Amino acid sequence: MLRLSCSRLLKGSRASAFPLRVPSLVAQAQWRQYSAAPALTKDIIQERIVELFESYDKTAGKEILPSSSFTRDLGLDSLDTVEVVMEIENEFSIIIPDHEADEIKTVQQAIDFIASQDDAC
Amino acid sequence: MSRIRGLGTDILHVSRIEKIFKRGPEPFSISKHVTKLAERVLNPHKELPVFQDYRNQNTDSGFRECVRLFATSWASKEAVYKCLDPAEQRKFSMAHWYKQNDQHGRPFIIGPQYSKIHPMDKFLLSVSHDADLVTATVIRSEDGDPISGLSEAGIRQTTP
Repeated sequence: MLRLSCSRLLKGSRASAFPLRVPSLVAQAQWRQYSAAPALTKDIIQERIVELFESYDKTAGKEILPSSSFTRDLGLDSLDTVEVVMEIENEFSIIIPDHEADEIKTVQQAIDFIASQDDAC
Repeated sequence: MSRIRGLGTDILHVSRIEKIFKRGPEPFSISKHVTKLAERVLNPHKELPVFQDYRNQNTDSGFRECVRLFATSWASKEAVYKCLDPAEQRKFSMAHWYKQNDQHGRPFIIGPQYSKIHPMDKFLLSVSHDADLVTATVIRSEDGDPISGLSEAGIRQTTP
């Protein structure tokens, strides 16, 4: 319940920052809110990150792989990256300090960072 | 005698900032997304209060000033980042730096925390605007005089 109650998904705020579409996970989360929350596995993190990128206009339609580099493969520049990092913070209810954010250059590195955060949900 | 230690430049379409600020269902003046972004990029003592003053005006001109301030600050700090050594780039935080203009209108940029560690480093900033573009260029030089010997603005007092 805690995981669900603190999930940004229930607030639907992604639609405000990344306006293209509201991910299907929103519906799943609302439907499941009275059952046990799934553990935040790396697979679930990856799925949510891929959805996040799919809803961002610059990366919509691109293949999002764990190995995808933000700049080389996804074509994001520094301003895009700050936006994406902020959106990841919203998505998983975490704070990513600047010096940590600078080290996140691939989807896999983002997944690993989130997985290392005890309070990510 | 000064030695050039780094050169950085950045170019930005100002309209990108405008788009980001207008994104989302909340109006610009109360958007949490804008607040978070501004707090991440703007210096809390020197830039953020000015930004908030313009924002609180809740007018088109206030909005334009916010966009201009943010875009110029962003480009200037990106240029600073590019002229730093890799070890300092890893510690870089935009909010630690601020861009202002001296009494003659010339822009300068300073990072008080950085200057404490590297008192000999001096940053020269040039900014240019045209249509939708802003560019910033920064030269990092190592000076014989520690920065504490400079004016409060972090630049030499010169006669124009």
